[in-house]
Amino acid sequence: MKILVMCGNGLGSSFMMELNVKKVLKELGKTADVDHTDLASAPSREADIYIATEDIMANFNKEGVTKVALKNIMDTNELKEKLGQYL
Amino acid sequence: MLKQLLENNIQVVENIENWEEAIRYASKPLLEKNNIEDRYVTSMIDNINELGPYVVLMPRVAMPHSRPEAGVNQTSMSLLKVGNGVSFSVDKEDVNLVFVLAAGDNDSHMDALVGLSDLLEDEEKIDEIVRAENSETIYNLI
Repeated sequence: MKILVMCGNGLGSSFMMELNVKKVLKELGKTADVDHTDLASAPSREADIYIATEDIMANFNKEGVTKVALKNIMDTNELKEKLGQYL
Repeated sequence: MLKQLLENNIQVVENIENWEEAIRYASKPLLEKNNIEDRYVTSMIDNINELGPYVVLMPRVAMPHSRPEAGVNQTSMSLLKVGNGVSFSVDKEDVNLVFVLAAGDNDSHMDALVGLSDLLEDEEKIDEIVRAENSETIYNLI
């Protein structure tokens, strides 16, 4: 499974979220290939699950893919709840 | 790494007019050291206007940033503590800690962000930093 975390620039917020995704995967005993990128290049990257904050996700127009939109970047409980159902 | 980057780059104010001013004020130490250029500050603000307040990482904490090519001379970070908080968006809780991130390339800031991520998980520490009255106390807490 491949998870792609997106933010505006693909180097700050998305990396912080990537760290949390890896933490949550570990807690749930799951494995996945996790990477981060910027919103502009995200549509051309293939992934099973795309994760971003709600404001960024609203600007992500790729159809037919699994999207997880977060309110709070650092809230691992929210992440666990929303991502968990797809793992 | 986080602590090293923030050395001498921590400022404390009680009030600030709005989030744009908070980003400008927080950027001052980095501008003075020529770690970033003026256009990087503008770019961080434009970014939020274009894409929304996604730099608010959690209640009380924001990390404005832009791309390396937007005017970063050296990977660096600063912190502005706003005692009474500042609003980045009506949808988000007010921000007390503004961490300006200037990444000189795509990966030299990663260690610092791992450090910041660990710091932000410690709610009690965040409470202490928000309550701290001067930059030295904050530096020692990090």
